[in-house]
Amino acid sequence: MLARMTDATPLLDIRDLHVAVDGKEILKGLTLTVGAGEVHALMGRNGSGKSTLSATLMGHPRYKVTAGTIRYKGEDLTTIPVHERARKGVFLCFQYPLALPGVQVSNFLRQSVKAVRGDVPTKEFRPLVKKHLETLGIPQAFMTRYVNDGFSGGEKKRMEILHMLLLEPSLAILDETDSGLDIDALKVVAEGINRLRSKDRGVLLVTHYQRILDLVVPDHVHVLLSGRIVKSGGADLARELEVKGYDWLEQEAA
Amino acid sequence: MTDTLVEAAHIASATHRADATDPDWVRKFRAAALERWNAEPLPDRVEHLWRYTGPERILPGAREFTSPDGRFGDLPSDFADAMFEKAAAYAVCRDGVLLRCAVDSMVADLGVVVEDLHSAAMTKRKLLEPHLGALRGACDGIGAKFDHLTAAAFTGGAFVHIPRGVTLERPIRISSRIGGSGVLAARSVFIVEPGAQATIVVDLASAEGSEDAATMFHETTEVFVGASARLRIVFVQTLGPKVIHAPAVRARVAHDGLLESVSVALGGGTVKALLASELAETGAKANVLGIVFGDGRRHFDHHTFQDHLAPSTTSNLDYRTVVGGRARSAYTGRLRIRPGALKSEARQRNHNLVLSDDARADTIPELEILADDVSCSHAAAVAPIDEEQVFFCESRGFSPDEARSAIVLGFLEPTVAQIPGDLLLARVRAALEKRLAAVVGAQGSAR
Repeated sequence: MLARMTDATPLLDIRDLHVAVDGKEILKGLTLTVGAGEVHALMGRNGSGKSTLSATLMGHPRYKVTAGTIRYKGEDLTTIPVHERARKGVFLCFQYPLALPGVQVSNFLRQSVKAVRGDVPTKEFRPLVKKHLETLGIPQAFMTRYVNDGFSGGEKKRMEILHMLLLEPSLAILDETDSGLDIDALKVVAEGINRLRSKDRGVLLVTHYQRILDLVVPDHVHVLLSGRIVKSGGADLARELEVKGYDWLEQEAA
Repeated sequence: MTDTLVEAAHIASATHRADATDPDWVRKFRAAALERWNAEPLPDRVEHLWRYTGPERILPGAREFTSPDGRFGDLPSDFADAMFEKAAAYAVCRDGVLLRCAVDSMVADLGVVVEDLHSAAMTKRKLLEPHLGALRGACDGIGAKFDHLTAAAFTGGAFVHIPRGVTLERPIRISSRIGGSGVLAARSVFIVEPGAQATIVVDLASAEGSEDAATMFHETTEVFVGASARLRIVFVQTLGPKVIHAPAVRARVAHDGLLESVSVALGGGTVKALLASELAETGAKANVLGIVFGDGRRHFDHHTFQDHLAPSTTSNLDYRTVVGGRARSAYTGRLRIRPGALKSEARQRNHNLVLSDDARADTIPELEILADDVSCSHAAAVAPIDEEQVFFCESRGFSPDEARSAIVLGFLEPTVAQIPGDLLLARVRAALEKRLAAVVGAQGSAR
């Protein structure tokens, strides 16, 4: 089936999604639509299924879609291999980025950019990297280190943002990128995300805390509880949650 | 005649043929070794060192010994590379025999010698005699049986001598090519006198057109690192898939001397390798790095032994193995700190990456700590590629094969990066990538 994208086709359209991990159902009928140009925040407690959604969207093999649909630019995403998703413009910013000992940052980024965006001449690649390094406050020496090997938590997150900016994804999913960051690092990360915002791109910001949402103001906020979205609203909802916690939603949902 | 008798006859005739032009003292050296070979039984398979590779796998058996004819034919394609890379000296060996050698004139003026062992035996007896065979008993005489074989029947080998206090900025390059279906035996002696510094790069491959030959190559290298001297030896081996390779390196490091050894084993069908280092005097140090990458049905068996004889000696060992296809690797690493070797430090690490269900890797560390007040550690692991790493790479656009390749190359990279010379390094990287394409691609299609 040929998927055609029209102006009305949302960037990401998730309907009644059920996902199981090792036979245990984590997402139980999640529906969410992210349009181009929008930033959505997905909030919820630990164990509510936030990271499961992130991993499922990227295609992690342990996460099995048991029912429902995920459409990306009108196309069924669930049958597309992980690397093809990346090449089609989906990016997952990892909560716990993996170390790749022996793989140099510069080579890793270069090969990744080549795979996703096609060959970018060195003449253009270098200044592009330099620009982003400056924005993110990353020293040039970073480029010759091994990917995330011995990086501090803050360095890993900056590395993820750097990678995201270089790949220029259409859909960026940030899985608790703000966790464990001090305020300075948080500002840098937020600046990176804001830099990516454009009318063609969608961002799904998965987070525990409201504090990053002061820096990256979302268009929509959703609350995930036991594998379903139980409440949606505007940026105000995040502030309300900060004050009231999640308990009232649990009661409301019950 | 039984195989054993045929073998004995072949070794004896190889010995006599080889000693035709030898000086007397070498003839005696060979004869004594031949006696020991005949007298000494084969090592028992229950012995630690032979558990994974029975000694019969590296026995000459009915194979004839090759008498190298002293002709090279075409020079190996990287002979020019060695010149281009401005080695301090470059030598080319064919079937173990050092046929061509050039020493930079400034280096020669410093008294540096790079020549074939036979020439050295003729003209440098005083220097060579106390060293040739001197390390046979090192590390409890481990693997001595096959030391007798190379001592009796060697037809080639290199002699390198770096005089006292001489520092060579550029490496000595030895390119060695072997071929034919016979047995080859070689012995080399490297002497680095007190205070001297050098790098020796030995690059061993099957000769062009002999990639499929089932050559058997026994070689023994004796290495002497003098007081406060530094020697770095890099062995790069890319032999054809049928070659039987049995290299033994025995080293003795003197007071405050440093031996750095980097072994890269990518080829051969059956490889039974020994690296024995004696940290003989106070402050001696050995850094031992190795990588093994096997595919197909290759069989690798590497044994290392660091023997700390004196106080404040240090050894750091890191061996990394990758096996795919039906390849097999066994790594046994022994570490001994003798009584009295106080304040010694020893680290040993062996990590194995297993790429397919049919490949197998074993790792056996053996620590024998007989002194107090020492610091020792060892780490060993055998594991497949981490699928989370693969997913991470794939999420950045790497295909499954590209992801696996990047992870494997990264695993080997810290050691590969130690290879000096851009062209040799490029050749090793190309060999690794070719190996990877075969292993990872084959695995990918099987999934």
